[in-house]
Amino acid sequence: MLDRVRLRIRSVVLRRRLEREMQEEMAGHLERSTERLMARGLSAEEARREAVREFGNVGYLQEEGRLARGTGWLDALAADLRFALRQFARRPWTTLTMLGVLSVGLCISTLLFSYVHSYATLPPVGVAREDDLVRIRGGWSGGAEGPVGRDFPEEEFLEYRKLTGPFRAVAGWADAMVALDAGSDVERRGLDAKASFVTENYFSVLGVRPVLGPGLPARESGDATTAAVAVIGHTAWDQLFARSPDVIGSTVAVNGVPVTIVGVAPQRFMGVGMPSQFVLWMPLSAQRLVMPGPPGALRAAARLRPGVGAREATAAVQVVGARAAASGEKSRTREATTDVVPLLSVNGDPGFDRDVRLMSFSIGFLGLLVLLVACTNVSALLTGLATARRQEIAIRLSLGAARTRLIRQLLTESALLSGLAGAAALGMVWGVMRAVNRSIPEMPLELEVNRTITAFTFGVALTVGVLFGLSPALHATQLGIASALRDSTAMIAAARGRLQRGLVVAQIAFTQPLVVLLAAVLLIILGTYRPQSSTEHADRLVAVSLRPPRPITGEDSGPAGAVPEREVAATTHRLVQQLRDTPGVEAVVLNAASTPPPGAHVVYPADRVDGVPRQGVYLVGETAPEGYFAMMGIPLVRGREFTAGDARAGEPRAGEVPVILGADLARRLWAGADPLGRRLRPAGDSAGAAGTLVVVGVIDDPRARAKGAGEDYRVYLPVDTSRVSPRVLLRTAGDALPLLPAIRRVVQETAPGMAVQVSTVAQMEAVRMKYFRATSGGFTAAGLMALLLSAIGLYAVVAFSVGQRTGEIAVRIAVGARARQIAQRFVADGLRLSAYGLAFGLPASLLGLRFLLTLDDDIPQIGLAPVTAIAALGVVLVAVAAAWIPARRAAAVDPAITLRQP
Amino acid sequence: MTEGNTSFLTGTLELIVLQLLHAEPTNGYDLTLRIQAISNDVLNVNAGSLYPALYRLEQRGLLRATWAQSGSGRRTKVYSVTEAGRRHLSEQRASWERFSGALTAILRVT
Repeated sequence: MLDRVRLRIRSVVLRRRLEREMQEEMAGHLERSTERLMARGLSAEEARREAVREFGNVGYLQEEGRLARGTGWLDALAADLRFALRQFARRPWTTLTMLGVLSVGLCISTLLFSYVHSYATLPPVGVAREDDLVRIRGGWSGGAEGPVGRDFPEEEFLEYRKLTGPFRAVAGWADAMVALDAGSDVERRGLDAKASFVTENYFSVLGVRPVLGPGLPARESGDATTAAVAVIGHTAWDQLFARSPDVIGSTVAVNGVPVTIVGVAPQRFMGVGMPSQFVLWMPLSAQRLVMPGPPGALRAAARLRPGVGAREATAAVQVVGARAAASGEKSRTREATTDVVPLLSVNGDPGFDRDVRLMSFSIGFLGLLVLLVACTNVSALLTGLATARRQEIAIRLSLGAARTRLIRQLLTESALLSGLAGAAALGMVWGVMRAVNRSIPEMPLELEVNRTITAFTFGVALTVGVLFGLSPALHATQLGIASALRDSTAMIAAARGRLQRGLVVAQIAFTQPLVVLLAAVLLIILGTYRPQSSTEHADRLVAVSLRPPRPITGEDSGPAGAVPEREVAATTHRLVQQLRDTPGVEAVVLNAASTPPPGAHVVYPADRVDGVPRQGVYLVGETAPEGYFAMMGIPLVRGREFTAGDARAGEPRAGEVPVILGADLARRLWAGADPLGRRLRPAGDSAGAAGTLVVVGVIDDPRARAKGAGEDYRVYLPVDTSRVSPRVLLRTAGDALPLLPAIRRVVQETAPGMAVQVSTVAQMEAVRMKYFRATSGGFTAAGLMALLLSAIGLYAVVAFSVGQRTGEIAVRIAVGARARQIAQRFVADGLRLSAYGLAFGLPASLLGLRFLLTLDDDIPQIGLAPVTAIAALGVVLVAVAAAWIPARRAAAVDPAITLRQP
Repeated sequence: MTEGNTSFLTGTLELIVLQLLHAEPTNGYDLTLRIQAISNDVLNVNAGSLYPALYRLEQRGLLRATWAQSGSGRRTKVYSVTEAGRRHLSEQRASWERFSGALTAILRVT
């Protein structure tokens, strides 16, 4: 058996040599026959002729010999491939279009797949990919919002470290946001950084080696002075130290505490968990040194012992977890869980499985949709091609070619096409991934072209190549020889066209939901990220925010910041004073704008004005600190600004809350009457128990009209002193940019040991605008691409139909039909197809949209009907355009030329 | 190949080839001559049947081919029977003998 396989492989691998040998052997035979015959007295020429006659047809014998060796199929394949390439060369534009359509479709679906694949299966970037590397994961189950993450208190973590049965090593870490001073100049101080306080075996368990320096000490010592060391992230090394090797041994300050750098982490490794621009790793014992407050809870990773599975390990940790939970927090509503899972970048949370399922489903669906659209297109084009080659196929059938042979040939063509498209798609995927990895260095996922991705691309390419090549191939060879050779083109066109039209209808049915979903996502982005209309002072306004060090927990309701809130508030108030004294600064206010305490609710005017119907309005609240409007340059048209006396502490449950609103809202509620002193009451609260808003001021501000649907109004409320956030807004006399270093210095001196962010409002708006443009640009491109794909399909169908019916058109024109009527017929035809497609696509889009809107509560609700209608209109318009181009060609048919042709 | 022997030859060509090559390895040309000589010109095998048969047997691992220098200095491909070929030959020979014995017995019935 093995011998047979070996011979078989030999005959394939050594095909050329065996072929040469066969020819040599047969030539030798002929030569000796000739010599024998010459010896009998024949002339050289006669002997040769006789020898050949005796031998038989050499070409036929060689073919027989090949068949005997079993390599005939290989020659047939080579012939098919050559033939396919010749076919492609004869129709370069059609071929390129098909290649383009297919490779774009494949590229998009491969990208989506690789994203899901990386998301669901890969460990954090830079971490070893080894099967024994696991995460010991804590969680709370039974809560209202499903399972949530749980960090381990130190005692519980130490219990897991004692489990030497299932685990070879257990490493732990606690993350915190810290302030990093990387040098003495202003720009390198007070930087926001993530610090991971790690056990001594953290790097070895994760399989990560510093690229520079010795790394953290291998042994944890209780001595606080030796603990003040850190391995810094690659980005920090690159951006703060210009990749200097001298960084090892130099000192930085973490929360104001001097720390010696002992290593640089490999590029793109950012630890496990939340990514951050600057990352530091320090020994666990350094936590007490640099962080105020109690030590943070830990997360854990481990190496399994050989032969131990995640299931057994889970059983072991559950016992410990249950014991720890029994002694720890008592909760009736939720229950502590512990399990062991492979260390992936995203499965830190027990809700991960559900998220991945949801994401795989939605992204997979989108990818499939894109692919189907591309494939129906290519199939439509292939059908067109196969039909155009009907006569050639018929002639070959009549010469005795087997139908299976022809089908094989047509399939070879589509398989070759999809193989080439697969290669092109892989190239594009590689390019896109490179660009993404480069432009987003903090990308928490490893996007790469690996074996799985390559196999996926070519697998999908060949599958669709064969599947979608099969129907045109069967179709083209199905027709009787006689009818194909005899029939007028018009008759066959009708039969051929049906399949192709069906494909285009299917495609429009697919494209429609795609366009709708993309339009919806675009609208959502527009709604969420629409940049605030900038004030004219954007370049003179500076936002300052302090970030006190705080532990990062995996839990929703983590402990409060490590620095007491009172202390933060005091620092913030001091900062306001300090900044007021800074030269160049005109005005300073506490900026609490990001915490709108009243949220949004519907209110009704408590005292109505005659002639104005009773109507509720939807309000979005924002706090306005004292002096806010003056500083923002927003004119107060009536009443007053808030004063210190308006400030409140905590949520008002009763009584009156002063409010400042926009002139347009005042006009809407009370027409021309004076709005000052009028009241607004929350909907459903006729008793006035929930507090009433009393208008104390009216501003004339374009920003007062809130984002999104026309019914939302922004109102301003006084500062809630119980919730001071460490943010300050200031206005400079001139351009703020040159003053930023000075401002930064003041902030750093006032709030040492805190990370500081100082930027002008104009800068912030520019950043927001950049993201907004990039995101909406991406979605617009994807939507246009989908439309373009279906336009190509429709164009192919109508163009094909025009080509097939040229004779008929010529006759119509000859008997007096006008060009306009002809063109209209074809456009109407294209429109009819789009209408069929929409009949299927519209319900699907509505379902998809409904699903999208249920994904997240934060998504602004957009009208289903208008979006769908607009997208449908867009699809129809494109369809008309795609049909119009070939229809115009139909109208230009000259009967005198067309009818003269056979 | 005369008309009379065609039907016998088709089924037995492989047996003939294996038997003759078992007796003495040789090349395709000499094999045709030898078949003719031994069968007293009754069996005339043309190249059209012989070479495909040789390739089939080689592909099935029953024959092995090596290139050798012939007496006249010509490079020729010499076929010899492999171990598997020998086994196959003895099986085929036994079944042929059974078949021809039975046939002879039938033809003797008067």
